[in-house]
Amino acid sequence: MRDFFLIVPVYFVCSFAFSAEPLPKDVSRFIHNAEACEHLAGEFDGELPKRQQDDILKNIHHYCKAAKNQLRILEMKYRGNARMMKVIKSNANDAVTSYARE
Amino acid sequence: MNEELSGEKWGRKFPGSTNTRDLSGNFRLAVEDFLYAMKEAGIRVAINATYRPPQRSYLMHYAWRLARKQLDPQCIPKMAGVNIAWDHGEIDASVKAAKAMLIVLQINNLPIKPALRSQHNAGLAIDMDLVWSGVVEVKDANGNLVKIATLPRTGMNRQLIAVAATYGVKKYNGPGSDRPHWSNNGY
Repeated sequence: MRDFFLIVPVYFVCSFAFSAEPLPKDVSRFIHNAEACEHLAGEFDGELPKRQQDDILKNIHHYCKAAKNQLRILEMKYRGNARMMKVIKSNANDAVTSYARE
Repeated sequence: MNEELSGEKWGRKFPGSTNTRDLSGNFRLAVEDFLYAMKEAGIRVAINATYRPPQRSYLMHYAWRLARKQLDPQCIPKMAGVNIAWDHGEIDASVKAAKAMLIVLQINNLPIKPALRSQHNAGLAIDMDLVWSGVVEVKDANGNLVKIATLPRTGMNRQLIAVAATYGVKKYNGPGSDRPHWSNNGY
């Protein structure tokens, strides 16, 4: 019983520390680009003035291209890391995976 | 339900708005108050977009995917109020009609899948270009006159962004860049 009272707090402290662990920089950069790309996917519209369309397209090519390249690299790098793969996959949104320079 | 085959005429059916009247509830009031304050201060405003009908986003999204043969036209979900028949019986005809829609919607060169949802669909976002010359004094929502002498003289000015926030109009502060975009929550 005494062991139980020792183990339980240690478990919670450790799991908290683990969940609060910052993400690796490469994963954080990917998430930033992926979220920017996703926002832009909801912004583009052919009715917008040409100047704004061009600006959005420029940003799409910047953020979505970067995120798609990063996704490929990160999936290889963290292949054996289930926790990180879960984070990566949950941020690999439709806008990123659909990006294709034409 | 009478369905109408997809094609270029569908690209014109659900136009977006540039009118603040089409924004939602309190956000509309907030935007209109902020616009009035800017006008009084001599700031020139050009509104590029306010509300985008969800039906328009639906048409953009599925036409884009079908034009790239990414899905079977029979598998496209229906949307209430959009009696479109995506399936022309033959895949080539369905794809051709989707491509014609992309041209009218002017998204044929868009390199990513258009999102089905954005703040614009909820009437909670506005895209606008702002510009002024010299020094301006803008009234915030509390009635204080805020003198803006800093640069840039555009919607990216930090003082103006702070004034807008007092009205409940938030400059885009999500990841990346979207200069003309303002919304109820900064996204």
